[in-house]
Amino acid sequence: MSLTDYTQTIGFAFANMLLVLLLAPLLEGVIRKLRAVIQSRQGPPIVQPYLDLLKLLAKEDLRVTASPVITWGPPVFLAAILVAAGVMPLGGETAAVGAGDIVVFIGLLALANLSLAAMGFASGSAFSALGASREMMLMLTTEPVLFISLLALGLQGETLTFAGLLDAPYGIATLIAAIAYLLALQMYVAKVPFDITEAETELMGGPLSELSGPRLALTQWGIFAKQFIYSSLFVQLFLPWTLQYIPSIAVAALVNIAAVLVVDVVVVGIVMSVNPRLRLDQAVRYGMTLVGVAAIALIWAAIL
Amino acid sequence: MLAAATLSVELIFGLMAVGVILGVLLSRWPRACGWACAAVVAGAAGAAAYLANIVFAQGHVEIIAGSITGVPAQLVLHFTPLNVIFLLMILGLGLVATVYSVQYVEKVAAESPGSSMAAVVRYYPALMLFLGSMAAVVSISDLLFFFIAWTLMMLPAFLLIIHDYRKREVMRAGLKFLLFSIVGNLGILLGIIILYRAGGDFSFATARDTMTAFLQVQPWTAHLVFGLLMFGFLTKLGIYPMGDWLPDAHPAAPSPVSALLSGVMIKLGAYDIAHMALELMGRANASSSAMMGWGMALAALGALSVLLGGAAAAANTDTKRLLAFSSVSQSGYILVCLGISMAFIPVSMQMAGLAFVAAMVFVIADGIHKSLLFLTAGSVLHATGTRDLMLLGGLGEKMPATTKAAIVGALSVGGIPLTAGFVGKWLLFQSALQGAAYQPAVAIWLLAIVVGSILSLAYALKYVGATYLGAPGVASSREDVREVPLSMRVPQLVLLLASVAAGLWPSLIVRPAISAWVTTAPVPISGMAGGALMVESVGGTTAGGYIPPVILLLVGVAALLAWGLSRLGGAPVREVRTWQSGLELPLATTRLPASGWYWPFTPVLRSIYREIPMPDVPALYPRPDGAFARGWRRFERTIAGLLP
Repeated sequence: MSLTDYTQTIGFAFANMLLVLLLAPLLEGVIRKLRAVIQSRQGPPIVQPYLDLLKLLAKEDLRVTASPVITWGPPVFLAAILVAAGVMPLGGETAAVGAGDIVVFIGLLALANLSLAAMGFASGSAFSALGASREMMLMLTTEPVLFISLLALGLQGETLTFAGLLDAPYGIATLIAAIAYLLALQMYVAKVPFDITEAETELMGGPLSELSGPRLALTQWGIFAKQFIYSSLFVQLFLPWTLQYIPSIAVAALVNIAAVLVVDVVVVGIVMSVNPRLRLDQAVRYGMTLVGVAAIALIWAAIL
Repeated sequence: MLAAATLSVELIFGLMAVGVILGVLLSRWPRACGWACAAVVAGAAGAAAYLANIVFAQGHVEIIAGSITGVPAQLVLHFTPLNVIFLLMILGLGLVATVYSVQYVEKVAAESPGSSMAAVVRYYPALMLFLGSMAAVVSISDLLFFFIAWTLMMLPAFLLIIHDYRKREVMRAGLKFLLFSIVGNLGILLGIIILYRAGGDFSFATARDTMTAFLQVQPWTAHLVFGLLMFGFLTKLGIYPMGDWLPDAHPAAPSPVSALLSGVMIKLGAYDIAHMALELMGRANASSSAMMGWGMALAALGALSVLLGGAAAAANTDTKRLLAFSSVSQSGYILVCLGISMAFIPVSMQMAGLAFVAAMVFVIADGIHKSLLFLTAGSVLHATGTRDLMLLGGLGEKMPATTKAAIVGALSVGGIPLTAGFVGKWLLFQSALQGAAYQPAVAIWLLAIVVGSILSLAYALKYVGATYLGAPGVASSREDVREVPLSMRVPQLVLLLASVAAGLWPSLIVRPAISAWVTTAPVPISGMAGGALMVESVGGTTAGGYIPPVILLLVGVAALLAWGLSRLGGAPVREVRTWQSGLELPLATTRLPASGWYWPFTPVLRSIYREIPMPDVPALYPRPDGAFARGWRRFERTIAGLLP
C-alpha cells in the first residue's frame, strides 16, 4: 500500500464524514414535515432539527454522575457513526483501499449501539437502563439482518470491501437481501413502530432520558446520522443501479442524497405515520423473520 | 544454538521445579512466597522468550532429553513457532497471574477457616506445578510423554479449582472437572494406544506414518483414532457438550487461577487440535471428502458452542460464571476457525492458512482479554466479597483502574474495532466468506457466528454495566470497598496495554500466528508493514481490508470534533440527582436488577444451555467431621511441623 492510497482513503473518509454530519438533520426535517402532512398538521419548518441541535448545544449540561461513560459516551457514539460513514461509499465510489470493509463498518455501528446502551446503564435510572436493555435485544435481530444481507452481497462478489461490493453482480440473492434490508430499515433507524428503545411515552427517552444540553445534541445528531447512512447503504448497494458510472462523484453524491430522501420519505416517513409502537417481543419476532429472509439470501448466494 | 536452546529449556523446567519447592518452604509467609514464585516464573518466562528467539530464527529446534530403557519412547522436546507461542502465553500469562496472586491469595489465606499456611501450601506449589506441566504439554512431541504431561496437568488444576474445598459447590465443580478430564483423557489414551500398536513406537513421526497407512488400508480405524483424540481435546477446549465442566470450574477456582484456566489451559485443547489433529490428518494425505467431513463437523460443534455459550453468558448474573460461559463461546470461535482450516487443507492451502491464522489470533487475543476480565472479576471479588451482579454496580468511582481494565477487556471480547478481539473476528469473517463460496455449509456456521457475536456484545456490556456502572448495589456501596492494591492493578494494566497494542497494530499478533501455520504455503495476508491487514481471495483480488491506525485517526478526529461541538455553546455543567418520576428513593432500590436485563428474553437465553447432569454423591464431598477432612487436617499439621 502506497502513501497515495493512505491519503486517498483518509480524504474519502473525511469528505463522507462531513457530508453526513451536515446533511443528516436535513433528512430528519423532511421526514418530520411529511409526517405532519400525513397527520393533517402544518408541521415544523424543514430546518427545525438544525435549530434544535444548535439550541441544545448552548443549554445547561445536567449530569447525574461523573462517570467517564457519560462524559465520553456521546462523542464516541457520534464518532463511531461518522467513521462508519467514512468507510462506506456515498457517491457511488469509494477509495480503492478502504480504511475498513463491511466487518469494520458493522463493528463501528456495534460500538455506537454499545455506547448508547452503556450511557443508559451508567445513568443509574431505571428508565434509561430499561431502554438500554431493549436496545441490546433489538440489536440481536437488527444487526444480523444488516450483516447477513451485506454478507450475501459479499459472497456474490467474493469480497467484503465496499469497492468490491459496488462492482458485485446483481443476482437473485441481492434482490432477496435487498427486500430483507428494506423491511428492516425501520428497525435500523428506530422510528415508530420500532422506537422501542426510546419509547417517549413510556420510558421518557430511554437511554437519552438523563442526557441534556450538548450531550443530548451529540447523541441526537448521531441518531440522525445513523438514519442517513442506513438509508444511503440501501441506495448504494442494494438498488440495481451503478452510481459509479456517473463521471462526477459530486453529482453521484447528489443523486444519492436525492434517492435517500425518496427512500426515507416513502418508507420511513409513511410507516412511522400510520403505525403504533410495537412491543419488544413483537418487534424481535418481526426481526427474526427478516433474519430468516436474509439467511435465505446468504445461502442462495453460497449455493449458486 | 542447540546448546543455548537446551539450556533455556533446562532453565524453564528447573525453575518451575524450584518454584514448587519454594512454594512449600515459604508457605508460612504468604507474601514472600508469592513474590518468590513470581520471580521464578519471571525467570522461566525470560528463558522462554530467549528460546522463542532461537526458534523463530531457526524454524524449529528438537531436543532429545532422554529415554526409559525397555519403553519404546523417547522424551523428545520439539519446538516450532506454534508451540513456542503457547509456551510464551503459558509463562507470560502465568507471570501476570502469579504477581496478581500475591496479595489476592494473602487475603484468601487470611480469611480461610483453616490455618492460613494450609491455604498457601495448597496454592503456590500447585500453581507452579500447573504452569510447569502446561509448559511440558506444549513442548513434548513424543506421544507417551505427552500423555503423561497431559494427565499430570489435570492434578494441579484440580487442586487449584478445589482450593476453597469446604464449599460444597466448589468440590462439586472440582469433581466434575476431574470426571470429565478423565473421560477425555481415556479417549486420548485409547487413540495413542491404537497408533502405538500399529506403529511400534510412540514418536510423532511414526504416528503420522501409521495414520497414512490407516487411511489407505483401513480408513475407519484412522477416523476412530482421530475421533478419540478429538474427543479428548474438545473436552479440554470446553466445547459443549464434552466441555461442560468449564462453566462450573471457572467460578469455583481462585480468580488468578480462573484467568489461567480460561486464558491458557483450555487453549491447550486448541493447540493439540492445531498440532496433532491437523498434522496427523492433514499431512497424511487424507481424502478431501474425509477432511471436509471432519472439518465441517468440528465447525458445527464450534458454532453450537458460540451460540450456547453466548446465550448463557448474556442471561447469567454471576461475574465469573458469565465470563466462563463467554469462554465457551470464544472456544467455539477457535474451533470454527480450526474446522474451516481443516476442511480446506486438501482444497486450497490459501483458505486453510487464513482460517488457521484466525484461530491462532483468537487464541492469543482471548488469552489476553479473558485473563484480563477474570482478573477484574477477581478484583471485584477481593474488594466486595461477592460475584453476584445483583449486589454489585456503580464500582466505577471506587475502582477506576479496574473499571478501565474491564471496559477494555469487554470491548475486546465483544469484538469492537481497534481491539485485539476484533482482529480475530475480522479474520474469521474473511475466511468464512471465502469458505462459503466453496462450501455452502460454511454459510450456515456464518449465521451462527453473526448471532453469537451480537450475544458477545450483550454479555460484555452486562458484565461492565452491572458491575461498574449505574447505581451502587448492596455489596458495592459498603464503606470499606476500595481499589485493589498496586500489585493487583499492575497485572491488569499490563494485559490492558497488551490488548490495546495488539488491537491498534495487529501485525504484533498476526505475524506470529502466520509463522505458526503448519505448512510453508503462503497465507494471503498483506499490508502489515503499514499497520494494515489486507486479505486476497483465491482469485487474487482484494477480499477485505482493515487499517487500524487510519480508523484510530478517524475516530480520534471525529470524537474531538464532537467534543469541540459540545463545547461550542459554552454550556455550563451542573450536577443533579437521577430523576425517578419525582420520588426521592435511594437509587439502589429503584435500579434495574441484573436479573432483569434483556427481559423478556432472559428465560429463553438461560434455557438454551443445558447442563450435563452430574450424579450428586454425598460421600464424595468432605464433611467437617468426615474422614477426608480429618486426614487433610492431619496432613496440614504434619506439613506445618516439618516446615521452618
